[in-house]
Amino acid sequence: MTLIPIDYVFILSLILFFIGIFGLLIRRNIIVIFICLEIMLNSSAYVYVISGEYWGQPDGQVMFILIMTVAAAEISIGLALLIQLQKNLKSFDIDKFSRLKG
Amino acid sequence: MIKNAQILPISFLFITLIILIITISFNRKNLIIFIITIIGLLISLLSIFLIKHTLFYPLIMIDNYSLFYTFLILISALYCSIFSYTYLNKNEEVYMLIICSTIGAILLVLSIHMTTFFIGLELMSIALYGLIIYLRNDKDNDLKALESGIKYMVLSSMASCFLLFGMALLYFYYGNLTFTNYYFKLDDNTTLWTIIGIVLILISLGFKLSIIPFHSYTPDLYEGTMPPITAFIATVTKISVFVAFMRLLMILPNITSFLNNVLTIISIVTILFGNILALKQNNLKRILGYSSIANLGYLLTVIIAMQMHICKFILETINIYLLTYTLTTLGIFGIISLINNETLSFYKGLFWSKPDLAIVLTIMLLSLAGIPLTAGFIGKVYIFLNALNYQLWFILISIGIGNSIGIYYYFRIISFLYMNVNKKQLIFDLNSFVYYLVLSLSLFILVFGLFPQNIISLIRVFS
Amino acid sequence: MKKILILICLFPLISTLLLASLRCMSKILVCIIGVGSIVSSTIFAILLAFYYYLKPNPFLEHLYSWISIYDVKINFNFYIDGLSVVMICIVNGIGLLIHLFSTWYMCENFKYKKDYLLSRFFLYMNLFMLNMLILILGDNLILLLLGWEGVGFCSYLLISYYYRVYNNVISGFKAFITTRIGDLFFAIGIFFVWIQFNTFDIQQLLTKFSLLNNTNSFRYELIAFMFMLGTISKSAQIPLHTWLIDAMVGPTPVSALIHAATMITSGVYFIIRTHFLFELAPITLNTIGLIGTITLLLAGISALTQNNIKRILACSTLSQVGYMFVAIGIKAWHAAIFHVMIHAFFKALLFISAGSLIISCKHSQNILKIRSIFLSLSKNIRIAYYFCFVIGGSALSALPIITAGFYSKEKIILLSKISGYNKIWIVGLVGAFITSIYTFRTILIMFNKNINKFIIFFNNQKPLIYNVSHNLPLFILLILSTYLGSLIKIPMQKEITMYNIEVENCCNIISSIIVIVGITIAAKIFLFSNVYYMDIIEVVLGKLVLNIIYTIGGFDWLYIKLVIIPYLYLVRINKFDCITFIINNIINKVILFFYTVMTKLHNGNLSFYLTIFIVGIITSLLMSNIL
Repeated sequence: MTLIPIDYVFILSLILFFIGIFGLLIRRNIIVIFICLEIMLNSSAYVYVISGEYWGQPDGQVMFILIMTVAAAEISIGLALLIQLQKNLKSFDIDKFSRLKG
Repeated sequence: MIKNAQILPISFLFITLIILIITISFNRKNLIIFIITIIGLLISLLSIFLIKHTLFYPLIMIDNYSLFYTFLILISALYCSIFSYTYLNKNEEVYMLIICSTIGAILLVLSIHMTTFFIGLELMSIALYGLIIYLRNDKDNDLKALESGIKYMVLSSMASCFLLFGMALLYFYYGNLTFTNYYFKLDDNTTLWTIIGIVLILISLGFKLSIIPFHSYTPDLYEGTMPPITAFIATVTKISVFVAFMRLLMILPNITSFLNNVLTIISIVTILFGNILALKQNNLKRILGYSSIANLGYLLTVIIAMQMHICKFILETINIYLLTYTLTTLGIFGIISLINNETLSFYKGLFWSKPDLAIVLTIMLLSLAGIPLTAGFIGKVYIFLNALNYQLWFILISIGIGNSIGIYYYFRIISFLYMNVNKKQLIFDLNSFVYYLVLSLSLFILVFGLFPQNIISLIRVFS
Repeated sequence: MKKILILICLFPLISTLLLASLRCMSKILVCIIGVGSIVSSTIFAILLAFYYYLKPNPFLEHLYSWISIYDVKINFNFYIDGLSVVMICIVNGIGLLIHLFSTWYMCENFKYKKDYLLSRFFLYMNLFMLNMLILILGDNLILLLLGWEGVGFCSYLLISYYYRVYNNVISGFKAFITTRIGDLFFAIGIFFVWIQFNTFDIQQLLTKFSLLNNTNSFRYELIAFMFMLGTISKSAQIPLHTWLIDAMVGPTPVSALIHAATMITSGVYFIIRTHFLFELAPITLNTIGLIGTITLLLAGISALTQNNIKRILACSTLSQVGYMFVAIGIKAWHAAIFHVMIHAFFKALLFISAGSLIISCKHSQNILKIRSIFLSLSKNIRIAYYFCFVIGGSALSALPIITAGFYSKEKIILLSKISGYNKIWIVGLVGAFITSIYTFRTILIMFNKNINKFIIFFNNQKPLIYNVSHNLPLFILLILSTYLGSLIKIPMQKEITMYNIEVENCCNIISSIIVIVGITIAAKIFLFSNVYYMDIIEVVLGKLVLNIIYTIGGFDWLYIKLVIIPYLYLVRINKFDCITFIINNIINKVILFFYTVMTKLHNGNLSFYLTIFIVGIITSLLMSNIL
């Protein structure tokens, strides 16, 4: 059994990260933005897992679990925010709210 | 002596948090929750004085320096919770979130390992989201809060993604998560990816410090949240993130010399534009938001000096500047939460209706502007001397320009205070506890300005 | 010891704070607080003097280290040596007597000038005392500057104390601005000291100077010159003397304390405190001597033409301070301080009795008018006034043997002869001659009984009550102005001069004869013959010369012509200068442009913020790799 070269995996995570960034830049829907943020988080979590495997340490996986926890907390607050947004603004478009400016 | 007294402050905070959660589920009396919070914060403040020795674990490091900032963070948290007690009537969760966020901030200050670093930062930010979007059943304010909350949340999560990715890059190349190890490993063979990793980490911290060009959310955030929480954002997050930023750069001395030019440009831009943007604003909190950007710009110049040569004087500068900045900011936000209005026109002729409050606000603003005989002046002197010693001429010039612009808009507010307009009497409770707190803060600022040496030598112990 | 030093300064501070915070108090309470603080301060000053008498070693008392950042260290130290002990005793003693007197004076005056606050007066007076004490005790130049500016500020406040009269306020401004000009140079001198020696402490400076080779350097000359400019404005020497004459519009106790006894001499004190610096600057010392001689002559001549009693006294103050500057110019430090002390005694006496006289004579200050009212007073009071003025006046004109002034002033004149400054000696003698003439002119005009030609104003106001607070200061100062005052030894090193006793006696006899001749001439002119001598002088000299003399050299006119008018002209033509243009059109617009652009970037749009963020990251990544 041959292992996949580690550089390939790294490039995969980079691609995922850039997908997240482009999604953030292009999309206006707040749910999609949260999805993009999740993708970015997970891509970096992926790097931790593979580098932990590469260095033969458990640290990478510990970090992965922490990231998962944090992402969950963040998304739960994000969803609560979404509910409030829907109640108050009736819209998910992030360009709809620009009252604070100047 | 208690063994391992070093982690007492943070453990007391955890205990308080658990007690709060349990109490809230049984009893939703505002006063009781408030008292528990205050007692918890005070106990953990006092427990700092029990600590005699430094502690060095793989995850956290507790020395005099971090203890000073723990102290500062706890003080700010205490003030903010007292402000929010008088500001809101029903706010049990606010205390819980404040304590949660404070734990995160302290953890960030103590951290020397990526996990604690990340957890501290996220604990602080996630609790902060809750505080920002805390709705008050007031349509207009709620919309503002929601908007600033969503902006801060999206941008902040993105910043933490970058932070994580940067740390992941470092881990990928060096196989270690402890910052101190990089001190030995990163010396000469810096590759492109490590540089990218370090820059990404620093940028995501710079976002939290609202350094230009990552600052865009700051004024909106300041405007949207309620004053006690703005005070919390302006003090606790700024202190903790700045200390973490500095720790990081202290640990990575050899490889970060390439950052000097970038940092110089960024700090000059931050000082100048932070001040320029505040010029004609009509919202007091927005002005303070921009002014906090400028203040962090001043602090960034110290970091640049640190890149060249690290010595005790630099640490002292940062200590003193952060102390004066924190106290002044707390005072101003205390007054704003007391008056409960943030439009500048509301403050017209405040002196003629509430002279004492106007004078206190004047002292705070003078201190922010760095006028002699106030604490802010001492901080500015330090910053100036620092830039002078390391011969950072461009930065010196920009500090000068920025300061003079700063004087313009601070004095604009002051001139509003003393305008002679016929005005109905302001109605608010002056006998509240906040009033005396703000008064004591302004007194402290004056005393610091008049007799600086005692406090300086006290702080010198911690640097 | 430290406690005594702190307590000396603490009591005026406490009373200042008390008087400032409690505005609506009864007059008695104000008087008790205002005078009581000085009494307690004086007690500790006497303790200090006693301590120093027992153990005459100079010492440095570290009070507080104000700030030490990097290499800037500013320590607040008090330095005690003979000089500061003497000055403390003078300031506290005279200050106490004048405070006591002013309780009487101000209460009487308020019957005439209503709606001014008494507590304000004592507030300023106590603040002045505090600043003066700091100025004297301070070892640090910064601390000294604090006191230095503080006394100037209090002087301004007190000159324009009767602020409802426009002219008084203007006089206050004039005094303040003129002394500020000097203060500016003083501050520059301090910065020069910092650049040169990297310290603000006078004692450290002294040790650094003792390590220097005794070379005359331009730098020391420059520093000393800057300090000299500061001192001549504070001590009202030509050409910055113009404020003192106008300062006489303040209450008379103020003139006695600030503009005669203490603040005026602070310049002399400062030069003697830093005399090691001035010794290295011979050109500056010569300039000081020159200024002193010019001032003493011009002011003396001017006093001959004045008719306002307070202005006459102000002129005499100028000329006496001129003597002190002459003493400094010939490096006679001891004689200068001795004259400061004796001058404080008799000038305070003269001012106090003048103040009392002015009140008794319906608040008229013109000596011709005073004399017409004077006769309406009762006989005992007239004799008392006469006695006071004769003692004070003879001390001022240095009547031989019996007065204190003789021993201090003749010392300076003698020393100038012995040190070989013959010209100064002659000028000093001429000055003494003039002094005796104008002093006795004033006295003889005021108390002359042959007043056939004048209408006697009948005094229909209630007879004044002269209580202890009026009599005691006068009595003490009377004693101190006589020979008894000169017995006070000041604990300073005397000038070591090698001379034989014959020269000394000869000089003393010459100057005594000159003084007596002056008095006789004054008596000849003013006691028996025509009183319209002003008209004669005017005919002889012409109106212009008389005017120049009257205004002490016409410096006011010169300043208006040479400084104020060109300045205003420049201001007028400069209204639309290029700097304003740049500020208005370029800097302003650039900043506003950036402001508008940057606020456009804050459009509140989240997706735009995200874009800025990403762009920022990319640029900083690129910069960190490229740069």
